[in-house]
Amino acid sequence: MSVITFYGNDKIETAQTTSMAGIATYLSIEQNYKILLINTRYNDTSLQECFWEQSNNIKPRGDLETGISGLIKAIASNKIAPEIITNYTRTIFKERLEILTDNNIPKDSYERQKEYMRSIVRLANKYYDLIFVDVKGNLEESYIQGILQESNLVVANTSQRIKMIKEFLQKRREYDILNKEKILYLIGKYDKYSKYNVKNIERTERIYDVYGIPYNTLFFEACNEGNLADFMINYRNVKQTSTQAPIIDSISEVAFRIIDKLKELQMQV
Amino acid sequence: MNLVNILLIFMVLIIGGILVFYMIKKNKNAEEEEKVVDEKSYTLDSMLDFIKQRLDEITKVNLYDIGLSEEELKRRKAKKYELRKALKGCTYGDVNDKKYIKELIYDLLYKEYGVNEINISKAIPFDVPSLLTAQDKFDILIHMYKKDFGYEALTQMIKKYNLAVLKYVEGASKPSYVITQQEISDIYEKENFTLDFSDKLNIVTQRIYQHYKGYSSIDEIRDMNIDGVSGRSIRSSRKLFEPSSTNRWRLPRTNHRKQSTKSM
Repeated sequence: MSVITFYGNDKIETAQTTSMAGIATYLSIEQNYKILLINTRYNDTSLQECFWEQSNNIKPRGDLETGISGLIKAIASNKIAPEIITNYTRTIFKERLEILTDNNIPKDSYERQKEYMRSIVRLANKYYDLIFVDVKGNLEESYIQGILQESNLVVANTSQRIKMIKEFLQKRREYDILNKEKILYLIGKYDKYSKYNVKNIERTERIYDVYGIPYNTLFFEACNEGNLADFMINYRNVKQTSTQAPIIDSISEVAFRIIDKLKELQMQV
Repeated sequence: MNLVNILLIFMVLIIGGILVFYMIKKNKNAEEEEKVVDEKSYTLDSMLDFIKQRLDEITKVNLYDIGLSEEELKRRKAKKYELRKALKGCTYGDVNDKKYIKELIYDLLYKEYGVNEINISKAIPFDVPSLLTAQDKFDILIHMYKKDFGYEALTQMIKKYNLAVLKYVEGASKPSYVITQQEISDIYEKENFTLDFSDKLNIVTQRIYQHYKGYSSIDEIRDMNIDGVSGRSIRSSRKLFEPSSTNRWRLPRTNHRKQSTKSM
């Protein structure tokens, strides 16, 4: 019953989608939550690539569509029972992890999707325990603001460049929707030996809840080949000596911190 | 032996050549046939036939034959049930079901049938106003007004052009409240709407819908916020369509049927 939005506005790659997919997959395996992942980007297949291989040259069909387009048709015609969402998703783990996404759609359809994005998140919130939304773009866009308003927690994704972190902090001051109480910072492709490591950033910028997910070759390969679910199953109990240990540890740390933070925020309410 | 072999090779080559020639010829004919079909296939009738056929396929397909996973089968069954329910709801005039079916028809025409900016004019000649019928013009007007005023579209149009006045029509001895073809044409000229492709396809979709599952020419009118739509039958008895969900013909007021009307 909580919405967690992964938001990023960096022009360079921050591994936002793979981080979100990794955390959600980990939680769906370790915890008994019903999780939905929503991709809001235009014809972006990176979330799908984490879980299944993409086939080329898919001819667009107009019949009983799956994905966001199909769901929008149902919402537009007032069919708003929360259970219907599951008819339009793709299941990764039965009753645990599902994905709502769309690709190969024309631009005008995407513009229409944006209008319904907030309604979709709100509707999904009634059916799933946790909803992870992947959002990237300008904060001035109304659909992004709508999603952030519906969110219980915003995971602000950024690269390890101090300039980007400062830019984001500046934005946080400008926009009320980025309430500092419900923000968690996540540094993608994190290098713990950098001068700008988590502890230094927290100390110099006076912010809390900063985490990093390091680069791991096997993890990113799995995310490219649609094998993320297998990767998480195989390495979730990995030994500390393994090269996969740092990424699993950091995913686990962020995942449990998200759950704790949501509980803290609920207690405040 | 050598001569026999050479002859056999020649025979095989000749037969092979003939076969290839016929195959190429056959393919050419097929392409020509397709082209002929293409030119005629963007009329409203052929689009309607396509929609009927596709919706029939979608609702009648045996999902067990496709070899879906258990989870996928469950989803497809739920969606198929939803569609069948909506198709049934359309015939009772449910506005939400109408929206759902129209969305589906729109997508089928756009994504599968290949309707585009150029060939859509074969269905309704949007670019040549002189070829538009009064119904085409009314459909365009009501669509554009609906975008701005929703279900108040008809009321707004009547108010704006002061159409609700008594007037004499040619051949009639008494004045009547009527909106004539000429008035519709005049309004169309005055409004001079610029339609984009989405508007055009929406109008075509509505036309197909109203002939397939809707209430023909009064389909859009009966959705409006109005008291009702009345039509005169051949027997000149007045019957009434309510814009609410029942939409049954009102029963004639005869003594033996009075009781049954009350019980409803």
